Amino acid sequence: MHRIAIIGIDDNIKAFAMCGMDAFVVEDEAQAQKLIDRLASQKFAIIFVTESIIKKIPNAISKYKHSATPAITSIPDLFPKKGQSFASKILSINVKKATGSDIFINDSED
Amino acid sequence: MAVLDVNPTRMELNKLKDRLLTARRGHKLLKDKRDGLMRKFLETAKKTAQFRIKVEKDILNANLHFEMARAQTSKQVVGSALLIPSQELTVKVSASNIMGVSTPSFSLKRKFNSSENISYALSQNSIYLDESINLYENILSDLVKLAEQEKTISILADEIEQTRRKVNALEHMLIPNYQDTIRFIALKLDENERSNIARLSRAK
Repeated sequence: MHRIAIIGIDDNIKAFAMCGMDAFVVEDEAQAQKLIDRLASQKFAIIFVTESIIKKIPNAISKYKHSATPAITSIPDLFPKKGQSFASKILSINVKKATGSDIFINDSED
Repeated sequence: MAVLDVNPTRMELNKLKDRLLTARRGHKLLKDKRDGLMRKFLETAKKTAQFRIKVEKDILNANLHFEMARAQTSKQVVGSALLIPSQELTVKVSASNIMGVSTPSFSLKRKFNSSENISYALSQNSIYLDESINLYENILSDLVKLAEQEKTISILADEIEQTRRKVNALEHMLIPNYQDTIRFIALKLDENERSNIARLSRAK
Protein backbone atom coordinates (compact mmCIF):
# COMPACT_ATOMS: atom_id res chain seq x y z
CA MET A 1 0.00 0.00 0.00
CA HIS A 2 1.31 3.43 -0.88
CA ARG A 3 0.90 6.59 1.09
CA ILE A 4 0.16 10.22 0.29
CA ALA A 5 2.36 13.13 1.38
CA ILE A 6 1.75 16.83 1.39
CA ILE A 7 4.47 19.47 1.58
CA GLY A 8 3.87 23.13 2.31
CA ILE A 9 5.08 26.24 4.07
CA ASP A 10 1.92 27.27 5.90
CA ASP A 11 0.72 24.95 8.58
CA ASN A 12 -2.75 24.78 7.07
CA ILE A 13 -1.54 21.57 5.45
CA LYS A 14 -1.88 20.02 8.89
CA ALA A 15 -5.56 19.90 8.12
CA PHE A 16 -4.70 17.38 5.42
CA ALA A 17 -2.79 15.42 8.03
CA MET A 18 -6.03 15.31 9.98
CA CYS A 19 -7.56 13.63 6.92
CA GLY A 20 -4.85 10.97 6.89
CA MET A 21 -2.08 12.29 4.67
CA ASP A 22 1.49 12.67 5.88
CA ALA A 23 2.04 16.41 6.16
CA PHE A 24 5.48 18.04 6.17
CA VAL A 25 5.94 21.72 6.89
CA VAL A 26 9.18 22.96 5.32
CA GLU A 27 10.99 26.25 5.63
CA ASP A 28 12.65 26.61 2.25
CA GLU A 29 12.91 24.95 -1.14
CA ALA A 30 16.22 23.16 -0.41
CA GLN A 31 14.59 21.34 2.45
CA ALA A 32 11.61 20.53 0.26
CA GLN A 33 13.85 19.13 -2.46
CA LYS A 34 15.61 16.84 -0.03
CA LEU A 35 12.28 15.78 1.42
CA ILE A 36 10.87 14.91 -2.02
CA ASP A 37 13.90 12.75 -2.79
CA ARG A 38 13.52 10.97 0.52
CA LEU A 39 9.78 10.44 0.09
CA ALA A 40 10.20 9.21 -3.47
CA SER A 41 12.50 6.46 -2.30
CA GLN A 42 9.91 5.42 0.25
CA LYS A 43 6.43 4.17 -0.48
CA PHE A 44 4.81 7.46 -1.39
CA ALA A 45 2.70 7.34 -4.52
CA ILE A 46 1.42 10.92 -4.51
CA ILE A 47 3.19 14.01 -3.22
CA PHE A 48 1.23 17.24 -3.10
CA VAL A 49 3.37 20.35 -2.98
CA THR A 50 2.08 23.87 -2.49
CA GLU A 51 2.59 26.17 -5.39
CA SER A 52 5.04 28.63 -3.86
CA ILE A 53 7.50 25.77 -3.28
CA ILE A 54 6.97 23.74 -6.42
CA LYS A 55 7.72 26.81 -8.53
CA LYS A 56 11.24 26.96 -7.13
CA ILE A 57 12.20 23.31 -7.57
CA PRO A 58 11.51 22.42 -11.22
CA ASN A 59 14.48 20.01 -11.22
CA ALA A 60 13.05 17.86 -8.48
CA ILE A 61 9.80 17.63 -10.40
CA SER A 62 11.30 16.76 -13.77
CA LYS A 63 13.37 14.03 -12.14
CA TYR A 64 10.24 12.00 -11.43
CA LYS A 65 8.36 12.97 -14.57
CA HIS A 66 8.97 9.74 -16.43
CA SER A 67 8.32 7.27 -13.63
CA ALA A 68 4.81 6.20 -12.71
CA THR A 69 5.24 7.06 -9.04
CA PRO A 70 5.53 9.40 -7.25
CA ALA A 71 3.05 11.72 -8.91
CA ILE A 72 4.02 15.21 -7.82
CA THR A 73 1.07 17.57 -8.00
CA SER A 74 0.81 21.22 -7.11
CA ILE A 75 -1.96 22.56 -4.89
CA PRO A 76 -2.74 26.22 -4.25
CA ASP A 77 -1.22 28.11 -1.34
CA LEU A 78 -3.18 29.33 1.62
CA PHE A 79 -3.16 32.77 0.04
CA PRO A 80 -2.63 32.25 -3.68
CA LYS A 81 -1.01 34.93 -5.78
CA LYS A 82 -2.54 36.23 -8.96
CA GLY A 83 -1.23 35.09 -12.30
CA GLN A 84 -0.80 31.87 -14.20
CA SER A 85 -0.60 28.89 -11.89
CA PHE A 86 2.22 26.39 -12.02
CA ALA A 87 -0.12 23.55 -12.97
CA SER A 88 -1.53 25.36 -15.98
CA LYS A 89 2.00 26.21 -17.07
CA ILE A 90 2.95 22.53 -16.90
CA LEU A 91 -0.20 21.63 -18.79
CA SER A 92 0.54 24.07 -21.59
CA ILE A 93 4.12 22.79 -21.81
CA ASN A 94 2.82 19.24 -22.16
CA VAL A 95 0.22 20.25 -24.74
CA LYS A 96 2.90 22.06 -26.71
CA LYS A 97 5.14 19.03 -26.54
CA ALA A 98 2.42 16.70 -27.74
CA THR A 99 0.70 18.77 -30.40
CA GLY A 100 3.40 21.21 -31.45
CA SER A 101 1.45 24.29 -30.43
CA ASP A 102 -0.41 25.50 -27.39
CA ILE A 103 -3.98 24.94 -28.46
CA PHE A 104 -5.52 25.49 -25.03
CA ILE A 105 -4.41 29.09 -24.58
CA ASN A 106 -7.91 30.48 -24.82
CA ASP A 107 -9.40 27.88 -22.51
CA SER A 108 -7.05 28.54 -19.63
CA GLU A 109 -7.64 32.28 -19.76
CA ASP A 110 -11.38 31.97 -19.31
CA MET B 1 18.90 11.48 -53.47
CA ALA B 2 20.59 9.59 -50.72
CA VAL B 3 21.84 6.16 -51.65
CA LEU B 4 22.90 3.86 -48.85
CA ASP B 5 26.38 2.43 -48.93
CA VAL B 6 25.67 -1.09 -50.25
CA ASN B 7 26.90 -3.40 -52.98
CA PRO B 8 24.61 -3.33 -56.04
CA THR B 9 23.79 -7.03 -56.00
CA ARG B 10 20.54 -8.93 -56.41
CA MET B 11 20.76 -10.24 -52.84
CA GLU B 12 21.12 -6.76 -51.46
CA LEU B 13 18.17 -5.66 -53.58
CA ASN B 14 15.91 -8.35 -52.11
CA LYS B 15 17.05 -7.54 -48.62
CA LEU B 16 16.29 -3.85 -49.10
CA LYS B 17 12.87 -4.60 -50.56
CA ASP B 18 12.06 -6.61 -47.44
CA ARG B 19 13.25 -3.81 -45.24
CA LEU B 20 11.22 -1.25 -47.14
CA LEU B 21 8.13 -3.36 -46.60
CA THR B 22 8.81 -3.62 -42.87
CA ALA B 23 9.52 0.11 -42.60
CA ARG B 24 6.24 0.93 -44.35
CA ARG B 25 4.30 -1.34 -42.05
CA GLY B 26 6.05 0.13 -38.99
CA HIS B 27 5.33 3.62 -40.23
CA LYS B 28 1.65 2.90 -40.59
CA LEU B 29 1.42 1.29 -37.15
CA LEU B 30 3.30 4.11 -35.43
CA LYS B 31 1.16 6.67 -37.18
CA ASP B 32 -1.96 4.96 -35.91
CA LYS B 33 -0.48 4.82 -32.43
CA ARG B 34 0.34 8.51 -32.55
CA ASP B 35 -3.18 9.41 -33.63
CA GLY B 36 -4.69 7.23 -30.92
CA LEU B 37 -2.47 8.68 -28.23
CA MET B 38 -3.21 12.20 -29.41
CA ARG B 39 -6.94 11.66 -29.23
CA LYS B 40 -6.67 10.29 -25.70
CA PHE B 41 -4.25 13.05 -24.70
CA LEU B 42 -6.44 15.91 -25.87
CA GLU B 43 -9.45 14.36 -24.20
CA THR B 44 -7.62 14.02 -20.87
CA ALA B 45 -5.92 17.41 -21.08
CA LYS B 46 -9.16 19.27 -21.66
CA LYS B 47 -10.89 17.40 -18.86
CA THR B 48 -8.01 17.99 -16.45
CA ALA B 49 -7.78 21.71 -17.15
CA GLN B 50 -11.40 22.14 -16.14
CA PHE B 51 -11.12 19.70 -13.27
CA ARG B 52 -8.17 21.56 -11.78
CA ILE B 53 -10.07 24.84 -11.74
CA LYS B 54 -12.87 23.17 -9.80
CA VAL B 55 -10.51 21.47 -7.32
CA GLU B 56 -8.53 24.67 -6.73
CA LYS B 57 -11.74 26.51 -5.98
CA ASP B 58 -12.68 23.83 -3.46
CA ILE B 59 -9.27 23.98 -1.77
CA LEU B 60 -9.41 27.76 -1.51
CA ASN B 61 -12.84 27.53 0.04
CA ALA B 62 -11.58 25.01 2.61
CA ASN B 63 -8.52 27.19 3.29
CA LEU B 64 -10.79 30.13 3.93
CA HIS B 65 -12.75 28.20 6.55
CA PHE B 66 -9.51 27.04 8.09
CA GLU B 67 -8.24 30.60 8.34
CA MET B 68 -11.47 31.61 10.03
CA ALA B 69 -11.00 28.83 12.55
CA ARG B 70 -7.50 30.01 13.28
CA ALA B 71 -8.70 33.55 13.68
CA GLN B 72 -11.29 32.56 16.24
CA THR B 73 -9.11 30.39 18.44
CA SER B 74 -5.39 30.48 19.04
CA LYS B 75 -2.93 28.87 16.66
CA GLN B 76 -1.84 26.43 19.35
CA VAL B 77 -5.36 25.20 20.00
CA VAL B 78 -5.94 24.53 16.31
CA GLY B 79 -2.52 22.92 16.02
CA SER B 80 -3.13 20.57 18.90
CA ALA B 81 -6.60 19.72 17.61
CA LEU B 82 -5.07 18.48 14.39
CA LEU B 83 -2.43 16.30 16.03
CA ILE B 84 -4.40 13.08 15.94
CA PRO B 85 -5.52 12.00 12.50
CA SER B 86 -9.06 10.73 12.30
CA GLN B 87 -8.31 8.27 9.52
CA GLU B 88 -5.53 6.61 7.64
CA LEU B 89 -5.22 7.15 3.94
CA THR B 90 -3.48 4.79 1.57
CA VAL B 91 -3.52 4.56 -2.20
CA LYS B 92 -3.50 1.46 -4.30
CA VAL B 93 -1.41 1.96 -7.41
CA SER B 94 -2.28 -0.05 -10.47
CA ALA B 95 -1.21 0.36 -14.06
CA SER B 96 -3.69 1.05 -16.81
CA ASN B 97 -2.81 0.67 -20.44
CA ILE B 98 -3.42 3.38 -23.04
CA MET B 99 -2.33 2.28 -26.55
CA GLY B 100 0.52 0.25 -25.07
CA VAL B 101 1.65 3.02 -22.73
CA SER B 102 1.30 2.15 -19.10
CA THR B 103 -0.02 4.94 -16.89
CA PRO B 104 -0.69 4.75 -13.16
CA SER B 105 -4.14 4.72 -11.71
CA PHE B 106 -4.69 5.47 -8.05
CA SER B 107 -7.52 4.30 -5.86
CA LEU B 108 -8.00 5.73 -2.42
CA LYS B 109 -8.41 3.53 0.64
CA ARG B 110 -9.56 4.96 3.97
CA LYS B 111 -9.32 3.40 7.38
CA PHE B 112 -11.15 5.31 10.08
CA ASN B 113 -9.62 5.40 13.51
CA SER B 114 -12.84 6.37 15.19
CA SER B 115 -16.48 6.34 14.26
CA GLU B 116 -16.54 10.13 14.07
CA ASN B 117 -14.45 11.86 11.48
CA ILE B 118 -13.39 14.43 14.06
CA SER B 119 -10.87 13.52 16.73
CA TYR B 120 -10.63 16.68 18.79
CA ALA B 121 -12.65 18.35 21.49
CA LEU B 122 -15.60 20.14 19.97
CA SER B 123 -15.93 22.51 22.90
CA GLN B 124 -12.54 24.12 22.43
CA ASN B 125 -12.63 24.69 18.72
CA SER B 126 -14.63 26.88 16.46
CA ILE B 127 -17.28 25.55 14.13
CA TYR B 128 -15.20 26.74 11.20
CA LEU B 129 -12.60 24.11 11.98
CA ASP B 130 -15.22 21.37 11.75
CA GLU B 131 -16.40 22.76 8.47
CA SER B 132 -12.94 23.12 7.02
CA ILE B 133 -12.04 19.55 7.99
CA ASN B 134 -15.21 18.37 6.29
CA LEU B 135 -14.37 20.37 3.19
CA TYR B 136 -10.81 19.05 3.08
CA GLU B 137 -12.18 15.56 3.58
CA ASN B 138 -14.53 15.93 0.61
CA ILE B 139 -11.83 17.00 -1.81
CA LEU B 140 -9.46 14.12 -1.05
CA SER B 141 -10.75 11.83 -3.77
CA ASP B 142 -10.78 14.70 -6.27
CA LEU B 143 -7.18 15.51 -5.41
CA VAL B 144 -6.09 11.94 -5.99
CA LYS B 145 -7.95 11.89 -9.29
CA LEU B 146 -6.26 15.13 -10.29
CA ALA B 147 -2.82 13.74 -9.47
CA GLU B 148 -3.56 10.67 -11.57
CA GLN B 149 -4.76 12.69 -14.55
CA GLU B 150 -1.84 15.10 -14.49
CA LYS B 151 0.62 12.22 -14.31
CA THR B 152 -1.15 10.54 -17.22
CA ILE B 153 -0.91 13.73 -19.26
CA SER B 154 2.81 14.12 -18.72
CA ILE B 155 3.51 10.47 -19.58
CA LEU B 156 1.32 10.65 -22.68
CA ALA B 157 2.98 13.87 -23.84
CA ASP B 158 6.40 12.24 -23.62
CA GLU B 159 5.21 9.17 -25.48
CA ILE B 160 3.55 11.22 -28.23
CA GLU B 161 6.72 13.23 -28.76
CA GLN B 162 8.77 10.05 -29.02
CA THR B 163 6.32 8.38 -31.40
CA ARG B 164 6.16 11.47 -33.58
CA ARG B 165 9.93 11.45 -33.90
CA LYS B 166 9.90 7.81 -34.93
CA VAL B 167 7.15 8.43 -37.49
CA ASN B 168 9.04 11.39 -38.95
CA ALA B 169 12.32 9.50 -39.08
CA LEU B 170 10.66 6.67 -40.98
CA GLU B 171 8.69 8.94 -43.27
CA HIS B 172 11.39 11.43 -44.20
CA MET B 173 14.63 9.51 -43.84
CA LEU B 174 14.46 5.74 -43.81
CA ILE B 175 11.77 5.04 -46.39
CA PRO B 176 13.03 7.52 -49.04
CA ASN B 177 16.58 6.22 -48.55
CA TYR B 178 15.46 2.65 -49.11
CA GLN B 179 13.48 3.65 -52.18
CA ASP B 180 16.44 5.53 -53.68
CA THR B 181 18.83 2.69 -53.00
CA ILE B 182 16.48 0.12 -54.50
CA ARG B 183 16.14 2.23 -57.65
CA PHE B 184 19.90 2.68 -57.78
CA ILE B 185 20.59 -1.06 -57.51
CA ALA B 186 17.92 -1.91 -60.10
CA LEU B 187 19.44 0.58 -62.56
CA LYS B 188 22.92 -0.71 -61.90
CA LEU B 189 21.85 -4.32 -62.45
CA ASP B 190 20.10 -3.39 -65.70
CA GLU B 191 23.20 -1.55 -66.82
CA ASN B 192 25.37 -4.60 -66.08
CA GLU B 193 22.94 -6.78 -68.02
CA ARG B 194 23.05 -4.48 -71.05
CA SER B 195 26.81 -4.24 -71.09
CA ASN B 196 26.98 -8.02 -70.80
CA ILE B 197 24.71 -8.46 -73.84
CA ALA B 198 26.74 -5.91 -75.81
CA ARG B 199 29.95 -7.68 -74.91
CA LEU B 200 28.58 -11.08 -75.92
CA SER B 201 27.19 -9.86 -79.27
CA ARG B 202 30.53 -8.23 -80.08
CA ALA B 203 32.30 -11.52 -79.29
CA LYS B 204 29.99 -13.35 -81.70
